[in-house]
Amino acid sequence: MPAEETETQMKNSINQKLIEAGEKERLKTLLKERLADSDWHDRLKDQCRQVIREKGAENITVDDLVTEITPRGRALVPDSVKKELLQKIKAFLAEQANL
Amino acid sequence: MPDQTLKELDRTVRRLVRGEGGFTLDQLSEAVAEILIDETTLAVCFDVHRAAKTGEMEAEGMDGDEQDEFRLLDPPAPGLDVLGQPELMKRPPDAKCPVCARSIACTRFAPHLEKCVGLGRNSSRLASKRIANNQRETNYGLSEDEEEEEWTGERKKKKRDKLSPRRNKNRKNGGGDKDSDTKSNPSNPSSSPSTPEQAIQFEQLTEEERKVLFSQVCGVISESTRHMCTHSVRCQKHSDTQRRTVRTALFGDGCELATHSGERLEEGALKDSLSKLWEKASRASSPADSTSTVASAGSTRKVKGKRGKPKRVKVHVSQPSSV
Repeated sequence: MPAEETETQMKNSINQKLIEAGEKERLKTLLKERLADSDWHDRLKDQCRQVIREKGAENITVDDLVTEITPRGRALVPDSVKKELLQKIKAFLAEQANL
Repeated sequence: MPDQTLKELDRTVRRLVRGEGGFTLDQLSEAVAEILIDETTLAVCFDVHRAAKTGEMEAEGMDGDEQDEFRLLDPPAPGLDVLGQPELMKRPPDAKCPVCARSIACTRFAPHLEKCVGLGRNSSRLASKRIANNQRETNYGLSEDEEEEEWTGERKKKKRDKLSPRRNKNRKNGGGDKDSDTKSNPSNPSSSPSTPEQAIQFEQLTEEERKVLFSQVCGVISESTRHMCTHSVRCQKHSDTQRRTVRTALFGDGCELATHSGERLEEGALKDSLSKLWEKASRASSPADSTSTVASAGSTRKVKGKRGKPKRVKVHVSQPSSV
């Protein structure tokens, strides 16, 4: 067993645990709610359309779109939403340490 | 082996959270947040990509190009509507008729086409009426009196199109042509447009035909409309006496139960009997009834001695005093 994990491995493990505990579902719902209240969806769609216009609607692939949009999506999340999300995650993880 | 995997997982997570994996708690949290946000973004990407590929985006105009062209003006400038177009500038455009190549207002196009193409009932009626009118004009060359009026024979009733926009427009303007047609006729001394026609028709029947006609229909002349009743010979609206009177006045024929006498009265006698008929009728009916109708009938009926045709019956009746 490697002492240090790679980031990917780490992510996988945490992800799995999240799913198994049912926490992922809860967190995701919370995130969606918060984002819906803000204009994140509309802004993101605008970005998507921009990319499509650049690349052309016929040539656009899902991969292309995802590669382009993902970082933009992350940037567009309002700070307050992000903070709240992080808080909740930390709380969950902290629980795991004590189990 | 779910149990084992689960236990292993728990162990791994615990280790990570404690910082033994080389990650701080913050880092771990960020990683989780990233995962969540990425997944949400992915969902949006899928939707948009699908819309773009299926043409949904194009259809709904989501490109964002048309913002300026179709943006709503709120509040609109005076004289313009929300889209920036002037109010009510364009009248409904004209259509070109394929038959007569005229430019017709599109609201009037359907009725015009009906008449123009010549396939419907109305247009053939119109055409046959025109023919009859032309015939009458040639016949009128011989007549001296413009105001002659015949016993109205089978009167063709003009079909009244109640839904025609012209008719409604005329009504609004205070009863233009159509409304006043029948009402003003009785008081109008000059001949009405329709009666000379029917007069011709009746007149064109020969003696024999007329006798036949009277044996088939009631034939009683109504005072108010000056029409001959075309119901059956036993119609209940008119009495046998009335029928007999009319027949006597015209030919000297008996009523339906009686046989045709075959006598023909002299014109003078005819005139007398008819004048008696009218005077009796005028006295019998109410003053209101008789004033306008009989008055006009009286003024327009004249004896035509010169023509020698016994068919034409003209009666000159003095004005009743009950006007």
